[in-house]
Amino acid sequence: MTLARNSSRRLIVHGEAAILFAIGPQKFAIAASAVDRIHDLEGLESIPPHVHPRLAKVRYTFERESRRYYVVDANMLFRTLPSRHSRMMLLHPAKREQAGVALAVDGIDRMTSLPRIQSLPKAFHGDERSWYRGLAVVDGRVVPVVNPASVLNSAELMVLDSAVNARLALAGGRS
Amino acid sequence: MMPSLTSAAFVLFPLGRKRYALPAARVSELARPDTPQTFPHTSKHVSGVLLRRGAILPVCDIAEIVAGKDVPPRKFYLIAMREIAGQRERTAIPVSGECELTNAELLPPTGKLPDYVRGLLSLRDEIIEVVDLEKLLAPEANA
Repeated sequence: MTLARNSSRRLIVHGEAAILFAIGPQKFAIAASAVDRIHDLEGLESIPPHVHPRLAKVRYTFERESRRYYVVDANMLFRTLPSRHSRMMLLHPAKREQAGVALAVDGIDRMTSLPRIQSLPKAFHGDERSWYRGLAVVDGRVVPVVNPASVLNSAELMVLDSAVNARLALAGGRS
Repeated sequence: MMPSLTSAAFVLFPLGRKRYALPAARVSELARPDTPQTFPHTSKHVSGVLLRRGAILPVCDIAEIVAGKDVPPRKFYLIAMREIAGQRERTAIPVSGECELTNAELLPPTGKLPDYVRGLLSLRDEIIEVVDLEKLLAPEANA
């Protein structure tokens, strides 16, 4: 099943359209404009951990419309306990020719408008400063707003792409 | 402007069996018991955030650093101003019970006290350490 995002983009003056999603008991938000599609987990192909051990958060690849997507496990990205993923969000690629990035999550909650995104307090000084654009309050709960660029950055994407291509070339040479 | 170290007003707060102090100029309120909200992060001693009148405040738990691991659960929050990278930020500090405002002379630290002790207050039969939040919670100090 594929849910395509409506291609017509509306300017939202009083808030930012966001998709709320869950990883375990935790809710997160991501800008709706960063998400191209929401997809189930069919058609994933595993990447063996030895292909690029330093990028263990990337567990699978996925092909769609001739584009290869690298699927990041949200538990590994945010260093949370393993949970049961059921959906992945295909993010808009930064460059047209680049491989795509998808984030595997437990479930999609809903779309909402974030009235205000507060910057992450400076007391937070670790990796979360790149993971999150800030924090929003939704239904009285504090929800981190994910920075899509941190899921898999361009340098990681290049490294991974060359490792996977080398592996494919090797496999092709053997056959 | 940084508050003066020799400020006469201090807020005393309990952490386990001992009391500690912060300059009163740094403290804005004592908040009622509340449950911090959490989300994934990697910052040591930050136990979550509190939502206070629409503002999101980090909760920095200093109990383990100053009083050890066996401090009973903290019920209240002292909302204090902290300076990080030249910017001031309100921070919720879990404390064990009621706080007290007092006037006292700040004495220089004596003996082998940790770096985060700015000075001492001598109150009747109690010596109280005045805590420097910046030194206490500096990321490099807790690495």
